[in-house]
Amino acid sequence: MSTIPLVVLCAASVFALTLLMNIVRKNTTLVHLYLLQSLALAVALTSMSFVEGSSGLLYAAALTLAVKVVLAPAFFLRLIRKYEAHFSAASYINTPLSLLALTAITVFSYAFLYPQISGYVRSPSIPLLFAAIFGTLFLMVNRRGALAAIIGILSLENAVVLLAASLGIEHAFALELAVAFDIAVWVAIAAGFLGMMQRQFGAIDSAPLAMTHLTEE
Amino acid sequence: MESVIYILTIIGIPLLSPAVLGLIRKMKALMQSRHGASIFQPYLDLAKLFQKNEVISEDASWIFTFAPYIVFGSTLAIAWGIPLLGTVAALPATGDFLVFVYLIALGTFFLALAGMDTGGGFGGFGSSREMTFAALTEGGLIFSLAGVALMTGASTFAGMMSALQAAPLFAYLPLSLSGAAFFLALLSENARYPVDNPATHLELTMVHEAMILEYSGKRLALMEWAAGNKLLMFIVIFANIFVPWSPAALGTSAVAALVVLFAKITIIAGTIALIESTMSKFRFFRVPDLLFTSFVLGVISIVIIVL
Repeated sequence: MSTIPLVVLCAASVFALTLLMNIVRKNTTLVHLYLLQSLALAVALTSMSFVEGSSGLLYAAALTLAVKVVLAPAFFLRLIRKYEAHFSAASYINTPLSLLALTAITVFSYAFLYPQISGYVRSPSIPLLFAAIFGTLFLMVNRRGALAAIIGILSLENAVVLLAASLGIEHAFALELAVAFDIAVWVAIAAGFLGMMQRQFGAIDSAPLAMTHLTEE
Repeated sequence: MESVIYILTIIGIPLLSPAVLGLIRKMKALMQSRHGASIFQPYLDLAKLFQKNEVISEDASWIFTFAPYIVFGSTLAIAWGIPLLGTVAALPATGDFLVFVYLIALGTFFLALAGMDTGGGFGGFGSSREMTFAALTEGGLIFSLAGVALMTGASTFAGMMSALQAAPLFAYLPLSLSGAAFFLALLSENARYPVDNPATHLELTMVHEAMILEYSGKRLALMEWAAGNKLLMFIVIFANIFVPWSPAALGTSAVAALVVLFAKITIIAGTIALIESTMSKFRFFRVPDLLFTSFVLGVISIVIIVL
């Protein structure tokens, strides 16, 4: 299952989009990249469902399409327009160092993680997805903007789902439904949280400058 | 048929390069709701410049006089090393990717020297900026092509194209990363947005244009033509190596290969025009970030290929 060419291509896209997410500076571009990443996941799940004859994976793909490709990006784009948060340039380490960190993550995935697992499952998509998982974690901790951190969590989930599917870990449809519901609720809570941040601090940036408005009563 | 392909490889790039410049300008004009000049306007500009007399500064040395020939000659030498159709290069010795990179560096070196030669202020800072960008671009350029060389086991463009005929789909992941690195190097080496503005008339914002500000007449024509050759060479390498369906993979039909190559050149030129119409030029100190991105993408591609 994990060596279906289309699935490998989708895994490669997820990885490449994770790299791009770490480079781009505009919040709107970040949301569009997340949309593309979710689309790649939906295509991979659909492809797997046809090869395996599994209707559960097809439902999961449909849910992914509805929640992650349509609902969540639309929600985030609306928030960006509402709070005029088009740019989020701030990161804790600069672009060259971030890129070096991503290179180190890729080397780590290929040279250390993949050999541990290659005895059980061999697929070119697995080291890529490990690198994508660590890349999204890196995005979450490196960016100061709250929106980038939220997108980081959601794309981490994309990479984890595709890795699980590539490893052949079967999920019951009920579980997939719960995951999709969880994400929908999570997006709603995150939107509320961003609104509270904006009202309290005047920005959705967790940079020290914004946090100087935090005073004890 | 082989002799036709051989002749096309020799004359193709110098013959078509002004048209590609014209095509990019036309596309930019259309994207900006302007009518724009014909795509053949650069040919008329070159013809006009070749007929004009020159004004050469009294302070200019032999470097200023000979630099246009060296710059133009280096672009021709590289162009003859790149297979346009099939896998045949007119001059295989210059088709090695390291020779390509260092012939580019040779041209840039003489261009920068010529910029400083007359002692003008604008030429000096143009040369300084150009060498900064060239030094930073070289890493991305070498590593993007080194990845392809490692994957195919060939160091020449002809060998790479030949080996990529049977490349599996998965090979296009590292190739796409190398391709992205190469494309960023293409924008920087050819003084395009977001690194440089090829249409600027403000001396203080110039990089490439500042170096050739003192040139006029025939030598300016050679410099402009060399810039066009360089851009088309980069586009052809990108189209034939990093984009699937290379001419070599299309079998023996030279006409089909020519149509596919023209389609790819048009799409890449359209992408450059789109970038130039939708984004602003980077500040000087943000350009290293972009070029370092190119370098790191090349390194990641090599990591994926080697490990």
